[in-house]
Amino acid sequence: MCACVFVRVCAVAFVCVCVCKIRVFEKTENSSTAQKQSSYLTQFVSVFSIKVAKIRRKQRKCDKTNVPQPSAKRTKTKENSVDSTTSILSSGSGSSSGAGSRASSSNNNNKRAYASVGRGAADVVPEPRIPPQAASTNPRTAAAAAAAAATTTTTATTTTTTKAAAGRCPADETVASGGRGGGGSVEGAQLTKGPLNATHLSVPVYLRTVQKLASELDGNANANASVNVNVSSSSGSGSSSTSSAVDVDVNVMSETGCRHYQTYVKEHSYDTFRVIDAYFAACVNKDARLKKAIHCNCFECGSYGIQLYACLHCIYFGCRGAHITSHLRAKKHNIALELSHGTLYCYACRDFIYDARSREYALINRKLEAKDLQKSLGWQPWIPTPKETNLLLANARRRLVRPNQTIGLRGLLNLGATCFMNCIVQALVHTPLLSDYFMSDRHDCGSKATHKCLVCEVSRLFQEFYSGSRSPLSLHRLLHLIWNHAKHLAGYEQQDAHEFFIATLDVLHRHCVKAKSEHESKSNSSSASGGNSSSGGNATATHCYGQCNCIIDQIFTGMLQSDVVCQACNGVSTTFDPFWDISLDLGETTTHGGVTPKTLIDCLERYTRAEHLGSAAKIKCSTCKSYQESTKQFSLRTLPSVVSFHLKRFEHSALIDRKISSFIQFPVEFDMTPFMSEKNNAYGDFRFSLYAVVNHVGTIDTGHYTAYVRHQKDTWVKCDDHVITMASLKQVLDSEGYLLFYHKNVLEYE
Amino acid sequence: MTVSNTVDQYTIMSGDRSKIKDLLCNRLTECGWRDEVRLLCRNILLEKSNSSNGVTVEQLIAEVTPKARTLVPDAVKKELLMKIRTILAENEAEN
Repeated sequence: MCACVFVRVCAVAFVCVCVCKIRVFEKTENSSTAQKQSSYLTQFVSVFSIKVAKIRRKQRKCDKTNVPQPSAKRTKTKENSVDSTTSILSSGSGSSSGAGSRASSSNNNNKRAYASVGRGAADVVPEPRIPPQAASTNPRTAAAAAAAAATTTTTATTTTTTKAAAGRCPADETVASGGRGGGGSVEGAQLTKGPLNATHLSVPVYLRTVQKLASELDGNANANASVNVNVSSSSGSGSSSTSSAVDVDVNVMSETGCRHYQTYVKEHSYDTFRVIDAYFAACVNKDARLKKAIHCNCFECGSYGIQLYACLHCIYFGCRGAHITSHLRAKKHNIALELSHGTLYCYACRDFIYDARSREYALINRKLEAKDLQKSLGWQPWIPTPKETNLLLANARRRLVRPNQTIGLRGLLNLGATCFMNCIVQALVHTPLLSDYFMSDRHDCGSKATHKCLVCEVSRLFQEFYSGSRSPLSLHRLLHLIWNHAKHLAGYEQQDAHEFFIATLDVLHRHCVKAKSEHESKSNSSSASGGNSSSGGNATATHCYGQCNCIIDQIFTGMLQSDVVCQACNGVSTTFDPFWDISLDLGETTTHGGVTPKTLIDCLERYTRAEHLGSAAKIKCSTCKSYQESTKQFSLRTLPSVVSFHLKRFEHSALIDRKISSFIQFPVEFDMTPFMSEKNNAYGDFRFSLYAVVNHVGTIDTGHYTAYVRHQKDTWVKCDDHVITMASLKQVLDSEGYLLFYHKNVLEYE
Repeated sequence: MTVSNTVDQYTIMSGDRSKIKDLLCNRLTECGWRDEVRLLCRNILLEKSNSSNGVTVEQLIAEVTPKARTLVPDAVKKELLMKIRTILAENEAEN
């Protein structure tokens, strides 16, 4: 249930991002010096020690009101939490050696107890939370004490001072090790939640951690460090160039960015953002994750809601909507950070805002997180590289694809009985997955002789189809390449479209494998440092069932399972065979009283029916060790993304060669589940939609091929060599059908 | 609420939360949900842009959210649910 909620809430979170992306703008800022850094740092220590003092007072208040100890909720963790809390958090565990045992014993009624704590804390919050200006009159001693606490925690070995500090607040949340808590398992950790303690957010300390990590990352990956270098040289912030515009009262984000954020940065620098983002949005290390897990919940309702905002002016977390906005309004704070995506929100603008430098910091934090969790970087917004920008500028003409537009359609000249090729090419060009592959320019040809590479030729073909030109295309180069690679198709005779289809897939497949291996050997030899990426590619290539990972196999290859059952011992021997298409018999069945199939489903049922092999074809059974009669049954183990059915209309037998022109009804959409080997696979979705039909008109000796292809949703066209006409779905379904191409509706992921 | 909080805390701490989030983002992009929602937002903006004071993010979110939620494919929800279940089961097994 909770997961479901998570999905939904994440969906909402995602909406926000989408919303943000609508207003894209770019801001460049080049004004800052490294010299400023030190002064800003000292300024920050003082600002935050003031905050620390504020929270201290809040704690004392907590003490007086004698809030009951929040009961612990146990969450087991892999790592012993003692190590991970040796830094600042150990301040809490100092008091918990006594309190922790109480907490662990009172596991029940925690909800009620916590609720009261949360409420109590929330009640207390408003009073001591004075705006920084007012708080600046705070006693220096408190600030000094806090600063001292901060410094001791960096050494993280002695907890005497911090213990004293934490002891003041019994309501303080803590991570207590299981051993200390008493009675808990050694490796268990107890997580209690509560308002954030000031010692948990001493920015300078964390800033140092983040900067250190960032510089380490910088050192590791100095190849692509252009961003990092840029940032580290300018970590002192400062936006003097924009200061003149700050006073202008605008409520909407201007072209140059949010003025409120610029004001904020001028006053507070980027450090707070950097630390909050590193610890609560991106979680750069284990310590950060632990802190987020414990402290990062709404100050208003205590929920760990997916969309939490952190106020960047003071220590406050709040849920999306009323909780955070009421805080921002009451405190006159403007800038908040949305924690699930790390986007900045400006309350004055009532909008999400962008800032180039913040984005760079955020990217570093995301990289650190990815490194720490050993995961990929995750989704990043596309920011065109200079090369891409230039390409976009050079090709200023954009094409808007509307319904009823003909882009993607082109007639193909008949070069003398080449209609068998034309119809297959039309079907292939209109295969969505294949066009995705070629249109995104993913074929990286290993060989220099691109004019000999069939994949390059097909790639060029896709460009031609979508160029917008309406004149028919001549496929002589493709034909020539096919002739070279599939000798049996060479010559000006009429050929079978199905044979051509399979031959084309085969040649493409061979080219892909060759290009890939050449490419890899080249990259392996050329750069030793590039070994990482290529070895990763190898791992994925060999990953799936021994078949290669080329685009043809990804789209067209399925796995057929055949079970041979021995009639004597019922022992099953199973074999798997890859397939590119399914050939279906149309003639009368010999066993079931001479029924002729009427629909595609009939054909498939016949195809997957158990077949008695008869006494003439005894097979040696592996269990009985003797030759026995057996039955054989096909089923589909895995289905490709594109299933093509070949209706065997051309019958070649000893007696007669004939074409079977009987009408076979085929559906637009159908579910292949009944023909699968494992029918009750919970994940499987085997629904397919028709997208191309190749027809043959004429006799077995001579005739003409045409193709119906789905151009857009519910728009069908008939491709008859160079003539392309609109067609209705009825026309398509009423056609005879020779090759039927179905595309999977829901694609699975690896 | 308590259970979901515990799950929240556990997944955040183990780092799985961030991985799940990435997975969800990828799935939603791959299944076209992102594009659909973008289109939805765009249409709303086009519709409302004529009115005098435009649209705020809050309004947009309020309007898009219910529709966007219904657009999330069941397969994605199912996969994520299974994923979270597996993670929690693994956690159970380790302790």
